[in-house]
Amino acid sequence: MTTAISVSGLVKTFGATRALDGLDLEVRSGEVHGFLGPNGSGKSTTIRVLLGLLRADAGRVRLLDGDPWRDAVALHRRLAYVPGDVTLWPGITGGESIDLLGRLRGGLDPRRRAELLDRFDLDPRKKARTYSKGNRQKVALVAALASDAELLVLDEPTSGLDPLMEAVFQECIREVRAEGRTVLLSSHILAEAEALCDRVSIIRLGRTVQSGSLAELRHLTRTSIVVETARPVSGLDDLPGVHELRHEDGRAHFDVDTDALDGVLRHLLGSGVRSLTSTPPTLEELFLRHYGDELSGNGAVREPAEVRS
Amino acid sequence: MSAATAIRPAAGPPAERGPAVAGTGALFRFALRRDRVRLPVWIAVGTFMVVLQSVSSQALYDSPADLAAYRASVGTNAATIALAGPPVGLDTVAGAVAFEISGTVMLIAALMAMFTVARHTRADEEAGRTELVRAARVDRHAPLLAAVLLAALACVLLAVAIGAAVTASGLPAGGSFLLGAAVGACGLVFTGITAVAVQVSGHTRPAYGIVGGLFAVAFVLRAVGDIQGNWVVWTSPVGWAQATHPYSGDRWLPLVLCLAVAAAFVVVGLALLDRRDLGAGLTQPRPGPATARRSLLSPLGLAVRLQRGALVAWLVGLALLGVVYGALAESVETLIGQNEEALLVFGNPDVDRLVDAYLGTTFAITAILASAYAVSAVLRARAEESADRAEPVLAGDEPGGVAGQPRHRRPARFRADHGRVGGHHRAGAGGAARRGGGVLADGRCRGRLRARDLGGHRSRGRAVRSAAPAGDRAGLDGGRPAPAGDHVRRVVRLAGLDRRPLPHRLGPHDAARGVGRRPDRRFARRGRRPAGHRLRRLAPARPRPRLTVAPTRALEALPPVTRSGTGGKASNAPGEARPSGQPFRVGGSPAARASAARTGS
Ligand SMILES: Nc1ncnc2c1ncn2[C@@H]1O[C@H](COP(=O)(O)OP(=O)(O)O)[C@@H](O)[C@H]1O
Ligand SMILES: [Mg+2]
Repeated sequence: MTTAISVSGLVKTFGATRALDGLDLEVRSGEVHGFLGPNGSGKSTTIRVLLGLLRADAGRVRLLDGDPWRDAVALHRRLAYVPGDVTLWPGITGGESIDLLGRLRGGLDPRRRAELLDRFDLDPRKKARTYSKGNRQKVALVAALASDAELLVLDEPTSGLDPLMEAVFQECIREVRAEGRTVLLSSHILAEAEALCDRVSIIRLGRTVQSGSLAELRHLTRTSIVVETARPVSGLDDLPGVHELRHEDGRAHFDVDTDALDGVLRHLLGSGVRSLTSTPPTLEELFLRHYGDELSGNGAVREPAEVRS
Repeated sequence: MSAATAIRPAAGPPAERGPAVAGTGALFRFALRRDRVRLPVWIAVGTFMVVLQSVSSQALYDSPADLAAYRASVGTNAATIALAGPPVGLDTVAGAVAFEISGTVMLIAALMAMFTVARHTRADEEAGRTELVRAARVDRHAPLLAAVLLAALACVLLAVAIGAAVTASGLPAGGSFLLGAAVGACGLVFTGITAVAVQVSGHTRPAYGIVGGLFAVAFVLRAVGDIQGNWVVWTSPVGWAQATHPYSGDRWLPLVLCLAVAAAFVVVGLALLDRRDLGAGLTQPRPGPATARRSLLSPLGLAVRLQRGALVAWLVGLALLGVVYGALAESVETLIGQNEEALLVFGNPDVDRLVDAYLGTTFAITAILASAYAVSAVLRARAEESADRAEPVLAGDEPGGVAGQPRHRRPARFRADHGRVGGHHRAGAGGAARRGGGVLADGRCRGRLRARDLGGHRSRGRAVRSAAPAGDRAGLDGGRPAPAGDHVRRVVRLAGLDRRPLPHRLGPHDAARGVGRRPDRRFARRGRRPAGHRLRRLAPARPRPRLTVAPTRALEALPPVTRSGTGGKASNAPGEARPSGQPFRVGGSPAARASAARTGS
């Protein structure tokens, strides 16, 4: 089996709200898949459909080659889930909650549990009532990571964690991937997706707007370049794929479409490059473009070249 | 992806399709652990009430003459029947025990079932905990099944505990266990009803409203049936449970009906669960307004808005209850006509007075219900706190609102706003209490609650106690301050914790004793009463005047006062202008006055 999750044309409405509007998602086994989108774009809804908590209105959903609604019990044996907003039982301690969730899932590794508690610096004896959001999130994370699930479904798992704990989390996810397990990681924190994900899907308004590996997505993005040359560069304006050119203190600042990079570099060489700083494209930028699209009121996804000029 | 034909990958053993109840056992044990204190308390309270009734009734009706008088008095009192159950088996003390207490413990059983089921289903779901649980290897139905099993276990334990304890108190074992079983069966029906209600509504509070409303309907239907002595009893689960006639008819068959209906409800609940999304009710949410209206923009406005639904529901419910009670007033005459013993005892009774007495009693009941709402309205503030929603409101900077208060008083003000909603409601429902009772009660809550931090829970019990006066004052004392302790005592009495026979627990005492005195400030401030009071209530029966016709005579004494209750602001009977600030005079015959004073000590 090479596909862990396969969703096509998924539609889900809540009354008048069309939360998912023909969403597609494909997650391969063994990869860490970033599921990106702005608030309210339908990430959590998709995940709940995948978990059989919501029933899809239309579309085809396969999860670990099963039907998430019908085969929920069997499938959940093989996955672990961390919701975006973890609520626990007020009078029950964190440690008890972890054990309960582990038991309900079908067991968890006590050694691993202890190790994770240590790494996440979580006191399992505190009643959930006294936990902050981040600590509640840690409880769910420990329960999920201490399991032997082959698929981890994480809905904005770091939204309450401090930077230190975020680093621990990333470390854990890398270990999980090294073990060959699959991770679906929803996020709007793009640095996180960049740091962790093999592939990403970007959704907006309940539809998938982009999906692919980070490398594949790079052709949609621009590299920012600051270059200092011996002689003033001329003719940059005329090169295809160069944007936002300005000259300051004898340096040229510009963005260049990633697939036009080669030609631009060749052109620069003729002017005697003294120093060159290039900033690789960020998902942030990519994301902003799709998001900016929404703001400008255009429904269709356009090629990046047309988005900004 | 692999050709999606194999539904089950090798990794998942086929048996993993799993039973339809996967996870139920673990969830049940977990629920048991969460309720390891709560349920024993419910069961103990229910059992204790029946035992108390048994012990005190055996002490009170120790001669056939006492019993005959008792039988005569309750047989004619429609209000007593409305509040208790079918007047059967009153020729034995055991029968009298069942008559007096069964309705109240059935309410306890129903509440226990409701809170237990809702707490482990809709409340968890609303909070988001069920999402975590259902993402594990847990069947969709498991949380509901576990909750139903837990509630059913509690009902069975309550039944057994009542049976055993009441037998031990000296009543026949057969009838005692039947009484216990009837109570448990009523709890089971409401377990089933709650199982459906938590599917219908997407939120916990409306689910409570549905179940509580259905209990009220069931109770009123059986009251109508019992007073008129007709088939209407059989439309009510409470009626079925009471139709077992413990100690007299000893019929077990109606329990089968209870069990069947309970099971049917659970099946319906499970089926509805398949039809809805996690977190949703049966209806889809509609979009609300994008901007807040002016009226919402204050803590009080918010409190009103949050409680609007409950407020309307209670108002409608109480209005309907009033209609039913009013419609039954005619039956009082009929009852007396039918009851030969009563005619012997009373001679030719003044029917108008009895009707007035009946109405006064029903008004007291309505007042208690109104106070129940007031308590829940004040406790809402507590819920807002524990859900962390109070914080932003308290931090806000709204002039004249919470933020206008000195910092240390803000939490109190916030709670008071919630309490005020309850207060206003009471004013509406119990016209007589219009005069400022809410403000007074708010003041008390405020004083009491100021002492603790936001989110702390030291004084929850006090909040309840201090809220009780807020609603209860609606009753018999025409809106003037009554001794604060009285309100609590009245609730305690009606809840059956008082050992006196039912008619004694009602109005006349309140009227004779409570009216016109100044509030007991010590109680108001510190939320406690001198220990002596408590001791006296729990002490073994003091020598009491033999029960004669006191209950009904006492009710006869009532009219001037009750009219004040039913007549809204006009707090006196026509032609009996009472200068404000002076106590009510208790009307009626000297004997009645004496008896009222005696029982009211
Ligand atoms: N239970 C629900 N009832 C009504 N609308 C909902 C519900 N859950 C989600 N929505 C709506 O669906 C859309 C997607 O929400 P969600 O999946 O939570 O977004 P995300 O997780 O990407 O922030 C939002 O517009 C949200 O308001
Ligand atoms: Mg979300």
